[in-house]
Amino acid sequence: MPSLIVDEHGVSIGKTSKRLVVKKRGEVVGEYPVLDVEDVVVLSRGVAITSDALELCSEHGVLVHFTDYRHQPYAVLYAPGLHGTVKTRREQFAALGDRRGVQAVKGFLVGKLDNQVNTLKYFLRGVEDARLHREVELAIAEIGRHRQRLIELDGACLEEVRPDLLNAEALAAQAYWRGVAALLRDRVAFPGRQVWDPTDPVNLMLNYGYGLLGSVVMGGILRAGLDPYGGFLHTDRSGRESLRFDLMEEFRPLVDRVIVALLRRGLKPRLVEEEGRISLERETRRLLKERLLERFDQRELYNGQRHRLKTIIQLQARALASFLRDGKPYRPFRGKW
Amino acid sequence: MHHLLIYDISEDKIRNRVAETCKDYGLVRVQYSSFYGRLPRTRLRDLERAMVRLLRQGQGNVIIVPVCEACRAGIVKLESEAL
Repeated sequence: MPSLIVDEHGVSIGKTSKRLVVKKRGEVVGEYPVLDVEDVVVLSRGVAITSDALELCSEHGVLVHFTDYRHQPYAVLYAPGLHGTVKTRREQFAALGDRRGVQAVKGFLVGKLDNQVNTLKYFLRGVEDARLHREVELAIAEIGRHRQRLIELDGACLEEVRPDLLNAEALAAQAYWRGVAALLRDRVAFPGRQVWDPTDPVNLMLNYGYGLLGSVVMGGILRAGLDPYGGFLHTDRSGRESLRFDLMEEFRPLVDRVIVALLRRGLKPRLVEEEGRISLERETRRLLKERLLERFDQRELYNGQRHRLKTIIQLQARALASFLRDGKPYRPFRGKW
Repeated sequence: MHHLLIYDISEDKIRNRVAETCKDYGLVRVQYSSFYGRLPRTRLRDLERAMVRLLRQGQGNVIIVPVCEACRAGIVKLESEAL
């Protein structure tokens, strides 16, 4: 089911009967039966939403995500009584102190590294330049070495091995972003990955993409009955949805691929400066959103069945819950390449 | 499966509510009193129940016609030219 995404100032969301009605300057621009909406994502400031619309959403299990200018969700509204069991949460917190925490984090990170490798390999197929080819292959090989280290790491609880896990992940990430930078070299300037307040188009696009991904992951976490604040790799910090960041890891390279593909095919991203802040220009943002949503809607094989990527993300959240609750093994998702 | 829903209801209030309910279930209006769209099995059942509730409150009837894949290919729409 699709997400209703609102990313424009001055738009209001109300309800008529059992439909969400989107208006711009008083004029109806769309009506969406709540039955057809998976969640509502508010990506912009200056959006109004009525309490009636919120009530309708809660009654139908539709989550409403609000994100800030970095596209980081700052609030999610959901019905308090709708999700999973207390047992899931008890086990989630218990797992922080035992071996399950280590296993879960290894799952997220090995998945992430595998998907990073797949993303690089995917673009490598179209590379003819021998030097560039070698550079990317070196990055792939290095990620492979860190993957091996990750797999060998073990401990009785996370506290013991977290620094080593983080270290392996960070080194792999460095190699990975070097590979990505090489692939983009003759297309667009990419100074390397920068999370906070970037001013270059690639990082801005990555943040936008991860923002969208984050809202899908968050939906999965909440619906699986997990506590978004109790992370494993990402430690507790007041107000940080650590588990959301954990579960996002294995999917990030899939978002990267969409962005790198756009840029390598010649997209010239444009930026605008408003209120002293640099952001993506509207047309660029629209195109990026469109491509990402298409990707989230694409079907892939998962446990022998074809599912949409966004369904797979939700299923992974549920897989994590049942790993913590019932000890069923957690297998990271590896995208096809 | 796609369905065509047509109705004949005398009371304005009930008729409007039938139309609104059709839209709630994702159907699209094709004529004054007919809607069309895809209804998965469970949703069709829910819609039928909602219609039964509405029909208890007023005179009239609702007909829901399934339109199979092969039939859909044969749908013809003839229209008087605009202007």
